Amino acid sequence: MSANILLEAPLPPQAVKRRVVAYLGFGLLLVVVVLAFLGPLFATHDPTQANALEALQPPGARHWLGTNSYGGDIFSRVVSAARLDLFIGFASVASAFVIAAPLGTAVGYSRAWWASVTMRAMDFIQSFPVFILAMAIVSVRGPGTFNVILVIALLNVPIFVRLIRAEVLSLRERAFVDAARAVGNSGFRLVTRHIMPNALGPSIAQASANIGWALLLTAGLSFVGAGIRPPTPEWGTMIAEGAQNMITGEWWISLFPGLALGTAVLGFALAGDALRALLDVRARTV
Amino acid sequence: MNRATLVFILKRVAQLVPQLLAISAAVFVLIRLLPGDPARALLGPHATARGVASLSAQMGLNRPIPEQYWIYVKGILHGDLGHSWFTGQSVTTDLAQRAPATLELITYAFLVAIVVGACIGAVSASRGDRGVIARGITWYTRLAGAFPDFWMGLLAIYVFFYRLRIAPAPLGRLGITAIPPKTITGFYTVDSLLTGNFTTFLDAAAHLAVPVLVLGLIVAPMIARVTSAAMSEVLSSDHIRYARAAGLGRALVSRYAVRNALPPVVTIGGVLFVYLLGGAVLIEKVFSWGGIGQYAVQAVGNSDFAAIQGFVLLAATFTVLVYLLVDLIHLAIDPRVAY
Repeated sequence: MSANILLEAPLPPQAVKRRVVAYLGFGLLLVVVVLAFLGPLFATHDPTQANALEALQPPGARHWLGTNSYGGDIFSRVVSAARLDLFIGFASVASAFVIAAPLGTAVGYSRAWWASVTMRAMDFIQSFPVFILAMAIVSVRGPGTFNVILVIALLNVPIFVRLIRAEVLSLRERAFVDAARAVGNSGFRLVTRHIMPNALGPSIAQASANIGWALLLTAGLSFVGAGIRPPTPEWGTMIAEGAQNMITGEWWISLFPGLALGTAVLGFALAGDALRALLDVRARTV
Repeated sequence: MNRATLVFILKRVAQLVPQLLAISAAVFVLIRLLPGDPARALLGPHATARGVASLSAQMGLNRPIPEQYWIYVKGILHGDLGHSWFTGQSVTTDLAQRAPATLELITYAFLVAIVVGACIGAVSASRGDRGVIARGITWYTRLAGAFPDFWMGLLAIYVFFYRLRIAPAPLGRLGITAIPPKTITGFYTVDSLLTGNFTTFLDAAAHLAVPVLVLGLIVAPMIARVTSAAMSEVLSSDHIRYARAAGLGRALVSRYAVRNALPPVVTIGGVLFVYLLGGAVLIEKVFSWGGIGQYAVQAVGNSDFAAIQGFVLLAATFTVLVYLLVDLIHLAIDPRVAY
């Protein structure tokens, strides 16, 4: 990718501002990804260790971000949670992408009846209130990492199918596709070598934002008890742990995991915006 | 009302039947056919095979699938959504008791979102694309979208209840001492005013304030974005330029502009109202609201499948009805959609 050349090109003043936002996005992402890989190394305590003697300590020298109701160290839990949360986010969006790329291409290229049936099915999935659907499915299948990934992947498939299909619909009519067909490429080769690779750009930008969305869904599911179960450190579970304490003034239990989650989501959203601008040949302004 | 309009309305209403059938089938598949055995899930990992088999038989899970579906659809048509294993009541009764609480919450949140969102959007459209306001809206949208709504609800509880002591305890729709008004509409704020019970009205309004503001302000940017885009487009359109050139007053031109910018705003409004129902699930848990959202969360915690199924069915039906309403409002704004 020619990202470097683009970033070094002289920019008009507005674009400079957008570039700052793009750097901010990638910077936030970098922090979160580093945490996901090295998080446990930064932990000052065992993230799942209960310690009744040190319960509900406010942030201080010994426990940087305080402790929760059973004495778990919030800082260690926040940094350790990044790995699981990011894994769920990446795994669910990647699975959705793997399913949606061939499906979206096929649905966009084909004019057969099953293409419109597939699209109606996608409409149907999307017509349910997202969170309610996710909650219902996880509750039937039981909580746990795998089921959360499965549900979030299912909810992401229609989004990617729609995007890829829209691209394919316009690519299908382009001259280079006609040319490729004219020189004797088979239909399969035409689709896999010429159309699909060109149709994935917008979805890659979208994928970043959707990972952020997946993080929010995971947290929401955990918050209602349909996601990751405590004491496993997970941002949504941790917010739930401190929910009752907000009424009694122990703000730090819920505040910090929420901040970490929001920052990560913001990073993915900003990076997605920047990627979209980069990948969009018609308006390269980052 | 002319013929085309009538035909459009009838056709649109008739679409409800296949939509609702599809929903019932999907919810059935969701609950009954997914891998995983409800009876086993209910009894937990230590259940004996015999216990699971006996519960399966009791729940009708050992009958053929089409028969199960038939029994289930027949039940829905009779308003029977099964029994909640947790509350011991019929799910229909449970949902009917709790629905007004949720509806009151999301209706007010919706109004907040519309008023705030439309104002910001209109201001932004009139100031152009590049101002401080536009950038402010962009960041407001980003932040509101990035941080979880239930977390913001918790922070609001800390600030307004614990710190500032201006909000009541987040434990439902009324204080312990307040007497619920006689049920007329189910909205405590409306019923208390209708029965002239001003103390209860104030109490209900105070309990509503924080959750409504949290939900409403989080979704307001969605409205702002669409309003701003729609208004900018209309303001630069030929017919508005012509109206200006013809010397019409500002107020009149604005009225034309608003009317023409409405359809996309109505659409996003519908999407938002449905979205709020999902958001209410989490916010209701945070504020112990006692609506259908909290009921669903409890049902999830207790593996109460009849209750979950009933809630999903209700939510999906609500969605379909809101979209029907959106289409009818479109028709009222712009009669051309009938042709």
